[in-house]
Amino acid sequence: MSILPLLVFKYYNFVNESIWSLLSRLGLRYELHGLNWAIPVGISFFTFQAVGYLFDVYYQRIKAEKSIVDYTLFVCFFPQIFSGPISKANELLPQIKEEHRFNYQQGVQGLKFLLWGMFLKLVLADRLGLYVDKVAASYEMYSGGTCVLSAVFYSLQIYGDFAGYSLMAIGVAKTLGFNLINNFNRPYFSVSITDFWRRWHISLSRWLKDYVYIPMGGSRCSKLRNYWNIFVTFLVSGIWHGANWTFIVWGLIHGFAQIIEKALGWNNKESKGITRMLRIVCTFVIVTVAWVFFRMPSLGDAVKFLSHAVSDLGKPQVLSIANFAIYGLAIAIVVVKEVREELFPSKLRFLNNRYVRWIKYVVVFCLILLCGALDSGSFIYGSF
Amino acid sequence: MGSSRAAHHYVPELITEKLGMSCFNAGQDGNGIILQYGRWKMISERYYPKLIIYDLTFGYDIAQNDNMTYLDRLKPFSYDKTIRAYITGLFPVENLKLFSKMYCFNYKFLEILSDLMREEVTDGYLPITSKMKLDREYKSFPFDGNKVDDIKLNNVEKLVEECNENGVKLVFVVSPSYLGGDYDVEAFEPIRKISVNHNIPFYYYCDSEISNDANLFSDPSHLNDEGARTFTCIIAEAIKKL
Repeated sequence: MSILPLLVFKYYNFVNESIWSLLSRLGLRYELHGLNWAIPVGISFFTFQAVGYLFDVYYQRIKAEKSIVDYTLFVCFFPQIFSGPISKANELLPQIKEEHRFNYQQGVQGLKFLLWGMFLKLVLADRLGLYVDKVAASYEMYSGGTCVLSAVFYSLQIYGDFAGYSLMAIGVAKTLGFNLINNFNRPYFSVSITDFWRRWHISLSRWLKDYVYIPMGGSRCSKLRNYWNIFVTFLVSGIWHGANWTFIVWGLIHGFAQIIEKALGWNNKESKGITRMLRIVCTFVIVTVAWVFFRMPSLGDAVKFLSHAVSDLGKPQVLSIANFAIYGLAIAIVVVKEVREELFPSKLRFLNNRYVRWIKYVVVFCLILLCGALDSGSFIYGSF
Repeated sequence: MGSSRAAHHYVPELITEKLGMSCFNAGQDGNGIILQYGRWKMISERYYPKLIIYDLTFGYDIAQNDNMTYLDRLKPFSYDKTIRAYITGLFPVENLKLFSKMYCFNYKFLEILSDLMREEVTDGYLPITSKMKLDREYKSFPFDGNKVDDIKLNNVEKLVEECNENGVKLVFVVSPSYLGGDYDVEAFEPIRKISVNHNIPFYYYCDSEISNDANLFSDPSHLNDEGARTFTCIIAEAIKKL
């Protein structure tokens, strides 16, 4: 019953069209009317949150919630209802029941998250989105280099967009006195696809692990069964992202990559120096190729885009010098921040100096106003 | 006036030569009537031009989409009461945001800098020198009546009325697109109706003879410099006969 609204709203048309397409190839006429309904905002997120609660109650990890008001607030907690993070009942419900008073330190921390989230969304993601959208709409007209650049930009765009939203949600919740799970941990520094899923959309990875992968047997079974479990988990991940074959292929690319890594023993292998760099680059390339399937409207377009990118080599086109200056600035700021946090977390302490911190806040705030794409653009994950 | 198709398709020097009047190309990449009506309000505060050639693009002059993006280039001029009233009339919350000058010049400061470095003066015309390499089949999109934006059409109507009231000759043109282009003539029906009601000339060149010559295009929606010069001569001759 919990997943019925999700199935009807999100997948009815997809299943209907897929069956119609299959039968029409066999010469059979079958057609049901499609639904032209508005899909409730964040349906995938709050459905997963509700399903997680049911599992936890069923397996007696938590007690059933008696207050309908608290339960409703848990499922519909407004900072996260649009695009997560997907919280577990044992994390959020106790916080809902607590009395909250304003905490200055938590408020400041929340506003910092909010500011950085807005920078990622408005300056990085939405600006890069202008280039990506233009190239993706008519990729045949651009050189292969331009397509490759737009694919790389999309990897950064979706990170800025989704991590930006998550940080804003976490920040808003923090100012209200609630702590939500951190959803991203510098995912493009991953050394393998397995590592990528420990750093990207952490709340979804955790949900899939707890409610799909482990109930199927996880890794405490035969190798083949374990590979099957990984395959099914990422198939579910792909289907969850959207009712389109492109998302299913995207999920399967990640699933197969993890199976290969596991078979070769690369999933937990530590590496340093050049080897680590090479692994980071290889992982980024695989993730970027998979994002092409995620971005393009159909499988055919994704395959054509990739073949065009590698066959029609040419210089990447700079569509607007002003935009490229902003891309460069935004990417440089994000890379410097993330490199510092990933590689030198306890060094460069002067950056934590009070005055330096305030300079950073003012600069980021001004950059949002001066360079952010301040239109009424939406969030990529808002459509899931 | 119009979108990038206006900016790339009309050569001011040829219009001056053919029609004997000074000319400026006010076409703007990725924009249409929402921006251009604001520009018209600003221009008409100072003087009235003799002639406006308005190049129509379905996406920017008729279709329903995010009108907020088209106000970007008007925000730096929000100190002007008319422009401020126009912007806040469309989006009342902008009244608050426009107090921030950084917001008004959002993204524009880099464009202003890059424009300062531009050496050639082309009176607004942006020539493209490349030729279209692509040789593929294009199909036109069927017109979907549900997608018409009343705000855009209202602006078109107001532009027409104000031009008529002030003796400004207005001409609507749909310039060539490769092989007939993006949209059928039906898609422009709402504006064609306005033009008929107000006795405004309406030229549809989207599927004209030069639309079949790939050498005159830089991409399916934009003529290159050679194509623009050919087309400007054609449209100038047509206007001359009015």
